[in-house]
Amino acid sequence: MPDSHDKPVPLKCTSCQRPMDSPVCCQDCHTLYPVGTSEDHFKLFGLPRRYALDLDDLHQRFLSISRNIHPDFFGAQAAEMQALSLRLSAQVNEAYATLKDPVLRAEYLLESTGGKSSAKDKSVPGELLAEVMLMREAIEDARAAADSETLAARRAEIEARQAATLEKVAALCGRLDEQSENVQTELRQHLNAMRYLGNLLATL
Amino acid sequence: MPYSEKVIDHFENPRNIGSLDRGNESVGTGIVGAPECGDVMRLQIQVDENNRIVDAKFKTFGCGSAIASSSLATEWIKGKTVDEALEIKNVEIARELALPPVKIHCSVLAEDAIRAAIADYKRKQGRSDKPESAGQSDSA
Repeated sequence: MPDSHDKPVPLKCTSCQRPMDSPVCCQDCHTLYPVGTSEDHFKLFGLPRRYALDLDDLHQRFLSISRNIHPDFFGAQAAEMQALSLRLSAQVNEAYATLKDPVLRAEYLLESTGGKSSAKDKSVPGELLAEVMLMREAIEDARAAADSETLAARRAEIEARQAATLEKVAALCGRLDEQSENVQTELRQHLNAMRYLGNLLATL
Repeated sequence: MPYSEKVIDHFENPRNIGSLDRGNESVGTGIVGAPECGDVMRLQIQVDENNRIVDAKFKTFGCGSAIASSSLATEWIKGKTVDEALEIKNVEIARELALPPVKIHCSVLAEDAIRAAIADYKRKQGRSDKPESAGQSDSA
């Protein structure tokens, strides 16, 4: 969500004049920058706002930023800097946890482009709820009968379903810049489906 | 916050658990869910020729409050006419079960399930008030 802190990423550190990898801190002279609390998660890591991302690269960026902003390094500094390092670390941790998870990443892209939350739009694709109900009952029966073969088959079935749904999620995320309500709604439905499928898997 | 005694009672002794024949013309089925918690609830009603709900069954996969809300909902709608059942509000369910604020959505789910089951029944009877569904608008 844009706010008053929505200024462009400083490409150069104002302290040492070297180029910066992240708007949060300078990796050379360790100067911290008080970016807004609602700064875009992707921007924090110097990444474009895009669903497709390289998880190893994200992890490396996370480690590199964390090394520069960790509160342990600011223990001897002014209280103000200690507080800033604490706040930025929490913000970067949360952004990392969101971006590394494909479902949370898609949720973030959707909601930060004005899409509805799952609380506001509970709809799902097609007859998913009825199918989830049937699968739940089948799992319940198989468990009561200690039928591990059926349970394993169900697990594989749900995992395949999740993978197929995630592919649709990825494709729809790529179309979010069309600002089409249909794309947002369809994405919301597939993300809701991921919740039910995830929950189903957790029962196995 | 602990569950109220009424929630525990419905959770341990759920009323009307089970299913009715979905293919039967006098049976309406509502399946609703809450994506935030992944709960799924199915509520079915059997309606006689006087529009009275003569039987109701439910099956809920969810927390104790969701189970209790749907169990209580089936108890309340049995014997009521379809129109009377539509009057039931989630706040009444929440009040009866003394649900804490974080569990209010469970009672909303139960109200949604009643409405969905009745809508399905009406659709089957060709008296749906949603003409876009199933192309039965001309018989409305």
